[in-house]
Amino acid sequence: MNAVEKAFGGIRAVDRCSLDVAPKSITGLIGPNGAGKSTLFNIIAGLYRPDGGEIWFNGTQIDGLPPYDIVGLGLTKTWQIPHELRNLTVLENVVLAAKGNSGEHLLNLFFRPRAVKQDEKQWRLRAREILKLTQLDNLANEHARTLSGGQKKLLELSRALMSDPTLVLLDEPVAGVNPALTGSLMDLIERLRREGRTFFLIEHDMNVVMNRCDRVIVMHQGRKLAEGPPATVKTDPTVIESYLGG
Amino acid sequence: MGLRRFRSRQTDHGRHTGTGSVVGGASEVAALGASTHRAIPGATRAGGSRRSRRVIVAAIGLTVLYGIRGFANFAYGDIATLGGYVALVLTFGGISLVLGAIITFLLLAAFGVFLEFAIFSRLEGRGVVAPLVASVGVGLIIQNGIRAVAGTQKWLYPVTLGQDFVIVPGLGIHPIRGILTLSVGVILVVAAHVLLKYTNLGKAMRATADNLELAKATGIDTRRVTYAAWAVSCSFASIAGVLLGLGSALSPTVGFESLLLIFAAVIVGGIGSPYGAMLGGLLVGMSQEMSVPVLVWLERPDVLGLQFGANYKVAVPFIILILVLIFRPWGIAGRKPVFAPRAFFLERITRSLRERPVSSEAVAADREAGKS
Amino acid sequence: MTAAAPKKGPAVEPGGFPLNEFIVFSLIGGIVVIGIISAVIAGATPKGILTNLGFYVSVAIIFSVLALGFNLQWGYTGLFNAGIAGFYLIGAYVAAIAITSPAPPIVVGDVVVYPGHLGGFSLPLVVGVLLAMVAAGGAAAVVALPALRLRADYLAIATLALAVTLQIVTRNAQNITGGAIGITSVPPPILFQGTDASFLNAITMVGIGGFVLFALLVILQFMSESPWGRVLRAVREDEEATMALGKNTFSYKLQAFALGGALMGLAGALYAVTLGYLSPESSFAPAVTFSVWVMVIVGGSGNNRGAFVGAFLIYGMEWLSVQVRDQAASGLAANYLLMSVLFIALGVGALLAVLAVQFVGRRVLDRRRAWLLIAAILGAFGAAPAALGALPIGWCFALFVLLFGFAFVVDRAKKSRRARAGIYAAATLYGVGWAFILLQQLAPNAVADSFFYIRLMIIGALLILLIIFRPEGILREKKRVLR
Repeated sequence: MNAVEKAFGGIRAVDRCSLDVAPKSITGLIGPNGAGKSTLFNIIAGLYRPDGGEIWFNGTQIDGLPPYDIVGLGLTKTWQIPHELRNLTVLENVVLAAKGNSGEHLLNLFFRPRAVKQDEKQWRLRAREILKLTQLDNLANEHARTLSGGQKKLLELSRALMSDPTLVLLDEPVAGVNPALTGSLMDLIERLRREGRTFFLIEHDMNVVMNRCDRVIVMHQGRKLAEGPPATVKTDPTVIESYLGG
Repeated sequence: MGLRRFRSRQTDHGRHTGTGSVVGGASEVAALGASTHRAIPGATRAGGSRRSRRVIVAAIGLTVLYGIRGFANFAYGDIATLGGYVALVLTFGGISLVLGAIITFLLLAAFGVFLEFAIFSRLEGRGVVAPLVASVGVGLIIQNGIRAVAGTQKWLYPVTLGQDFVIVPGLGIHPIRGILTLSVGVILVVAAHVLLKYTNLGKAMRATADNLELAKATGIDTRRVTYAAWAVSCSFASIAGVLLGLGSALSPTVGFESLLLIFAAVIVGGIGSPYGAMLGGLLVGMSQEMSVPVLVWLERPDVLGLQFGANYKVAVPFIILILVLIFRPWGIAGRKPVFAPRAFFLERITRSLRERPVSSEAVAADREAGKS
Repeated sequence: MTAAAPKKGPAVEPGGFPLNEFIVFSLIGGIVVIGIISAVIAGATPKGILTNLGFYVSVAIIFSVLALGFNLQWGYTGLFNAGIAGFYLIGAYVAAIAITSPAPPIVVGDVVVYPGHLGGFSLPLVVGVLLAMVAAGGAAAVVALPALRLRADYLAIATLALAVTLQIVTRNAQNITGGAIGITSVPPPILFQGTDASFLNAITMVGIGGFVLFALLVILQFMSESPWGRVLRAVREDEEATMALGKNTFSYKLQAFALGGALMGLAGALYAVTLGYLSPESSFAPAVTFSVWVMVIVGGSGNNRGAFVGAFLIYGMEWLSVQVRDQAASGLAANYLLMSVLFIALGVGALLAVLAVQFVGRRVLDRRRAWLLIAAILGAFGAAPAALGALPIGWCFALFVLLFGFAFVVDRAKKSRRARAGIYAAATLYGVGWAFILLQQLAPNAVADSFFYIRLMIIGALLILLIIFRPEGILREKKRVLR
């Protein structure tokens, strides 16, 4: 992960904001509402097109690439407002996130049925494992629309993990999740980080940010305000003025 | 002025029999037929502007509703037909057409409010397809109800239509089809402009069309605005229907046949933008008529040997529609939305053409839309 | 559309009585029975009746194929196609041009009696069908390309535009399509001679159509339950999210839309050989598109079984009404009362079915009342033949009272706004039916003329009622439980 820079014109949602995310770290992104955090995530994930600037990921320039190619490179995002696929079951939601499931190619269905069957079986097993991790396994065959808000967040995370990403953009992963679960969720994230994944997360829960993140980036009005380890950022006067102190 | 002259003419209830014959079945073109098929450039242009006026009135009505209610009203053409027939029934009752049109205007406004109340208010928040399907149902009921009651034959208003005033050989203006529809069209366009620009309701309508959530948040009574949009939309449709009837003859499908043209005008102009609709209506109507000389040229055996080339002009709005959808889906006059859907196949092409396309239009990025 | 309110439970408890299926199949059965009864009354021979039924089945199969295509586009992928008739037309004409023998223009003196049409390639049927599918699928892909990335209504407008334009172009491009006269002699799959030809032809078409439909159902079921189908459903639910999960949603949408278009082309090809002639007028009018919508919505979108059941049901009602009208017109029922009673019974049956589905779906009814409802539906159908021997007006009145009484009871039982609205809509329509009877006493010819239009009005009313009260259809999409 290398230098990330973005420029927007006019009323700037994200205004020439440059930042780095170190590999195998948990980096927090905080800032007041409207600071452009989610927009930045959407730009990185390819859902919005940047108006300028460059984004590099593992030595590949990814700005301007469509989101599905970016996912293919190992960068996945979750949504702040859960985008669960309502009328699919939880398990279907997760299996769907698998990369390179051969059954998703129309021709394979007819010409390589055996490979398709094997693939699907293997991915379902993997999906079940992930659901166990996120404690959703007992809901695997419920429609995703029946989940509670916190469970939907967990589903978001499960789907992100299913694509075996190197970098995960988590947009408020613990908002709406009950406190007991929040702890175990963050433990899970830390464990996955030790396995070599990188997390970049937006969060309003200061406990999570201050205790769990290696580095914190503060955004305000589309600009990067401060950057550093949680302790440093916490005491940064500009940050306190615009955000924490308020 | 135009109206007064019209009324004096109306004293003798002579019936006018159709001038042109319809080969293509697009009956709205019928009255234009006689002059158009000669394919003299001047006459063609006059036909184009005549046609565009009807489209403009209808397109304004449709775009107002589309912008505020957010769905494509496929019943719109049939609502226009209904307006035409209501006016027809009123004239049978001995009311003059002008008065009849005014009563129709009010009746259809009420009809629009009823439609929203009875059907479409139940479909709010159900996406764009559900109300679209329901509108097709409404259209089917209106169109076939008219067929069942009034039959499939063509009806003419009991008005004398008279002959063209010839200005230059080959270019004439018809007293009713030309001058009257022109004045009514202009009056309605001006009325729409005044309504939208200078009244509180109009301002609220524009705000709602621009951003529903924001309008709600700023305390605009969006329910009221929605009903008003239906009223305006359907009453404009009724006038468009009367104009269609005056232009050629009323038939149960006269509105449906213009629907495509109206949609093309609305999309070309940018959905929800009345001024865009005016421009779009003009552009689509004109380009359709302007295509005739080209098509006639294609008829020549040494070129393509096309048969009945002029009838292919019905394909023109379709082609315009497709081109606009490819290159400017938000319309010619419309503003590019901040988070426009990305067209990856187009992006690939443009990227290969130039190194890095930088658009300065998404400049108006609204911080509210940033979501976080 | 697909977003059903979460509080709605499943229509039947697992292992319970499959009420919805029962209603659907009893309705289809009712249609066939009334069709046979009215044909018997008209004095048709057994072979005549079978020929007629065969026609019903083969056209219903064609509509099923259309509905399956639309279901793939909309039910699974959420792409709303308003130009079904256009792709259908492409399929029919391409197949017809490919398989007919040459048809030169016929000129008598200076008058062109028949302009002739392109083609006369005399290709085998299978090739014609394949060409039809490729052409319609290709057209679908081309139209969809610019519109797919936009909101659903742009696609609807673009496809409607294609269908309308194609119909007019077909009418005018005389040297290619035969103009308004059309293509007159499309060869049947097997050429029969003699008096039984039409009977044997109908049977052949049912056989071919049945085979095609069965194969399609199997293949589509396999495809839509595969991982590929799962991505389609994901696109339908939330395209942005699916994209963020790493799927090239545009490509999936294009595939689904083109395949759906190809199915519509297949339906067109079947239509060409079933009828033996083509003309651009009513067969490819936008009303075809709207009928297919009703079929898919009634049956249940996102559900192949629903699409084909819906096609049999809705086309069945159309067929039956035409049957009855033809018999009335042929002088069997010199007073048009027979026709009207059957017609109204049909309308009431349809409305009751809608209501039944609505209430059963919303679990307003307990089991006992559900049976009552089925009895009412069957009664509505049964009343029609019974009315032949009795005073028709009296029967209608009895039905009218029955419906209102029923409406009253349900209204009392469940004071919901939606229930009431549905009931009153039904009652209003029933009132319209009544007005229709009275009108017909006064002006019988006018009623016979307006027959088709009233049928289309019912289709319109069904569209509105279904989309408001029961967008998920009779046979709702099943939950996929993965092991």
